[in-house]
Amino acid sequence: MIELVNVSKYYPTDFGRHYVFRDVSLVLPPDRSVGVLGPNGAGKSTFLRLIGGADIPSEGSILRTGRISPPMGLTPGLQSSLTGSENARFAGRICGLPREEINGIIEYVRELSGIGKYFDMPVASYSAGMKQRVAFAINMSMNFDYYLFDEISAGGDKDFRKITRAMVQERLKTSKFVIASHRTDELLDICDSGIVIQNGELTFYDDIKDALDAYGGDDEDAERKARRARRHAAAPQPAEDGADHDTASRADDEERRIRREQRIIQLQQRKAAVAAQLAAASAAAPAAEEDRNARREQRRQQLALRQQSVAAPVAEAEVAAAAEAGGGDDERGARREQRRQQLALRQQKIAAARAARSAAAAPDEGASAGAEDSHGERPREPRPEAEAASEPPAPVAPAPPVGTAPMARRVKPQPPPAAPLSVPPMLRNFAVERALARQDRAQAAAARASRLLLQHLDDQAASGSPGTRARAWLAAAAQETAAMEAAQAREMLESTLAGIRPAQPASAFPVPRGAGLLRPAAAAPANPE
Amino acid sequence: MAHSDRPAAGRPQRFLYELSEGARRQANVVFALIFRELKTRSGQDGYGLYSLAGIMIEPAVGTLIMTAFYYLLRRDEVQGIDIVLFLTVSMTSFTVVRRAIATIPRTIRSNRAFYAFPNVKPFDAVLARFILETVLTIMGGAVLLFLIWWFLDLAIDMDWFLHGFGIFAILLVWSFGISLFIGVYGTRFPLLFKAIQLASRGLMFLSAVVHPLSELPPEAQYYISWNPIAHGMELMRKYFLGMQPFQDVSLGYVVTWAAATLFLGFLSYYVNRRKVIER
Repeated sequence: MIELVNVSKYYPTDFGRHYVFRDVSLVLPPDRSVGVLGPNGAGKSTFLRLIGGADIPSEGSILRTGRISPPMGLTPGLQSSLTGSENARFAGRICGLPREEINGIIEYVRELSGIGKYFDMPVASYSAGMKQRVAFAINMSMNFDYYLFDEISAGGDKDFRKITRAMVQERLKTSKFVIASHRTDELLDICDSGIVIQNGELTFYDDIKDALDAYGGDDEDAERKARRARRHAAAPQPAEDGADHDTASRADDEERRIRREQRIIQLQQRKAAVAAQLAAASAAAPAAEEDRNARREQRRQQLALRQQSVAAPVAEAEVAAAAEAGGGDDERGARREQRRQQLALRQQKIAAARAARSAAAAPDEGASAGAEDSHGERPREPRPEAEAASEPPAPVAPAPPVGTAPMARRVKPQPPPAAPLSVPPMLRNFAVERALARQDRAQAAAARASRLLLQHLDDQAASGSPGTRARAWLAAAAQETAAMEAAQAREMLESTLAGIRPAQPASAFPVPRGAGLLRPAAAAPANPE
Repeated sequence: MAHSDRPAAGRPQRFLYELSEGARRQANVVFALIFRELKTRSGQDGYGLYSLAGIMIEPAVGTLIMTAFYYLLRRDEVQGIDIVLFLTVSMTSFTVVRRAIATIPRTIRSNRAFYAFPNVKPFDAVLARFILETVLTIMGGAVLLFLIWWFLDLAIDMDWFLHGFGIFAILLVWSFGISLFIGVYGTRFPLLFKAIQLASRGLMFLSAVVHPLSELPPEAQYYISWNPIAHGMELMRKYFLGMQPFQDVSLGYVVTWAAATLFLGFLSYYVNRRKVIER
């Protein structure tokens, strides 16, 4: 049962209080469905929100017993950023239903609303009719004693109306409806009593037909007829105009006609001018045409001549090739064989040179590991003379090339790192380990290189000219230098590590104290008090 | 039905029954709203889960920035406490206060569609958002504290943890009151939100968040000591970090402010409860 006791509802506006209704006392009988009638803006929705508990009366009180649905319909309680199913879940949650029941409700709403994949898309993407379908379905998915609807099927299609009618008729056996609507057939179908809200007055009628009569212009046929009649009456009205207006319009017409004639004359003049231009052009055309044809003919002849001159040598060459094709195979095969040999030789040479270069570079890598990339501008090794292709290709492998000049330059001891590196504590262990690993790698590479070089030198020494002997001696010297350099790098790395290891003194730039490192005693300043 | 086991009207059991029934219903609504907030964050920041993660890392980001400033000033400790730990404690609690002032009040407007349900009220919306954001911020702060302990070996003083958390709870009460107050009046007069946004920028420096109050000159100390957040911060650092608060620090002042603000929030909500839900 819903009872209104001295209820007033008003909104403050710029023109004073606007009363929707004033001092209403009313009992909605528990066994009757009620239709709410009234023009737009009379307060039907406000009334529904009030009895649904979504709004609070300004004065008086509303007593409600039984379960009353939220007012759904044209102004639905759907959150536009949630999907339809999430809205249904929310409605189930605020009623405190268990999870399984909520899932059942969602499936029910999905089926009843019949909007397909849109059910899992945000409500913001819905049309008005779809919103209404979902709102109706959410309300119907739960059992209430009173269902409140603001326009139950106004935005829906024929299908939806059929569904709502069936659903409502079925629900009417157990529950009652309060519906704000403009559709006479719907109201007559569902409701027993009526409320008319008009001009700040709220009147309860025991019979819905009385309410419809009292509301008056709600008979749709009569309304339509009246509208048609009004339209007919309105149609001939413009014929009866004042006299002065008549003369003014006549003057306007005159002016317009003159302007139109002027425009036609202008157009004709322009047309004549264009025709004259066209005629002149066509008169000049034949001469130009002949000239152009002659030139075209000439060009064609030239082209034919040129084609002949090209075609002749090609044909000759083809003939010659055909003649040669019989006996030229051996010769060509021999040439190809020769070229292949040359290529193999060159590959051998390149491999040897690469081995030598890696031997020379390995110690260098060891040095740069210690100096932390201070050596980034290291010049590329000059290409060995053997690879410059000045010598004729020989079956013997060339002497090991050794880049002596850059070696000599790099022997100079490098300046030690100026200051110990300040590495964040989190990265310290990592940096040290990385440096050590790099060092190891450099050592291994140097060893491998020296082994290769020594083998090579032995081969050379066994059968060599004085020149190769000299080169072997130089290579040995370079090897020695490389080893020295690696040792130096090792030393430098050690000194770097030594610079990193101890904790920074407190006076230096503050470094966050890390895990596992000694935490210096904090210098606590004396408190002011 | 639920009404059958309802005690008769006028008996004391009836009062308790109504109270528990109401609490149960409100809990349903608040949880529904929290889940809805988790699902989508509408209103000012509509980035779904990203914005939730943003709430969690906000204390960490603030701590990082202010730590960088301190290192630029060549300073790594405050009264013997490492600056990272100091800032973590301060920034985490201040984030709750700042969000209560700047973002939580907007929830009344963004949950408008739900007020069609008779049991959903704007108060529930504020409560839901407040619970969600506070829990997320505390979680973010806790993770940050754990990381600092794990990697930098710095920890808060667990002997006085409950005292410190009690002060934090008082700040939470203050925050809820102020967010309710701002929410109600900001929904009615949206210009207030803009003004608050401007005002909350300097709040960090007026609340002794990034520095102990005792380091300021006496004149500044005098003016800032009117700020209850500054008192709360100093007290929290006293218990969490064992720092010496400034001379006139007072627990009673913070508690009085919290109670008054909460009362003000409820009062403003009650006075405007109709106007807030009007469409």
